[in-house]
Amino acid sequence: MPENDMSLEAFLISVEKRAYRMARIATGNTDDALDIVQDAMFALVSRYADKPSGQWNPLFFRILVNRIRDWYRRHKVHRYWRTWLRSIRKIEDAGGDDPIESVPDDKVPNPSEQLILSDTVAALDAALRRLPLRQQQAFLLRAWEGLSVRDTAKAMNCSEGSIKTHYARAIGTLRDLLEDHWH
Amino acid sequence: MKEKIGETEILERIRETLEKSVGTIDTETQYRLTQARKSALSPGRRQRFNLWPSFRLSFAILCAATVVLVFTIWYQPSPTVQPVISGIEDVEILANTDSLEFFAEIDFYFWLAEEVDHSG
Repeated sequence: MPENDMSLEAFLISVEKRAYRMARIATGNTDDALDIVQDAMFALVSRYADKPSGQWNPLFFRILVNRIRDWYRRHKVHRYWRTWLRSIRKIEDAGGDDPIESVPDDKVPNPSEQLILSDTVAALDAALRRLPLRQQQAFLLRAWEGLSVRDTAKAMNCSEGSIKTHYARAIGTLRDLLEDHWH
Repeated sequence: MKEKIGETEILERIRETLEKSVGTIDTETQYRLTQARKSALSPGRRQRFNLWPSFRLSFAILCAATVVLVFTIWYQPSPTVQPVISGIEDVEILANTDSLEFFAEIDFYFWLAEEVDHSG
């Protein structure tokens, strides 16, 4: 099928799982990842459905990257307050049970997930999560999604030089983190 | 000493693992992704999304009108008491350099003038 004839639905089917995995790696949380992907789909359909289908891929990932960044900003504030509250509770309850401590950490995969994911996938996810967000996104867009340096720069709203730097640093870190696992 | 894995090799392995990871997405998540896609593509939803720019425009116009109204009310000049000059005579009195005493006693001078006329 020629690229221009591809329907919006076919396009979304082709990217939705990768988009979900990207959001899942970035957020460490299934529900938030699904919300982000859904938002990105809504935005693409409502604003760019009439654009040529060749432009959908960089546009969709641009929206997705922005949504992930927004999520990070919101959660930065949330994490700050949670840490602050936790420190207050610790002072007040010196040694007592902290209800906030008992809340499961979203970033730690639950046992069922661990069973599903193979060791290799889990190791890769953990390594990718250790990258700074910009490096993680530059790497996934370039290496997995196959966007050019130019399209990645557009999607991430930064210069091509920054993309090259982020990408090179990401590969260096991933190699260090995964070498032992993959040797 | 271990040999370092080459960049191409590590990239290949990462891509391969990422592709493999797509296959590990559980059924429930896949279902929710499908629902999200269908919802995004549904005509009702698209229409609702398309209404957003016009709603935004109306809201902006409403805000601008409110600001103008508040500004107008806020900066309206307050009514101040202006000195009213009641008549031309008063202007003459004020402009006159003669003693104010003369005008204070003006009735007496009118009476005096009449008396002089009658006696004359």
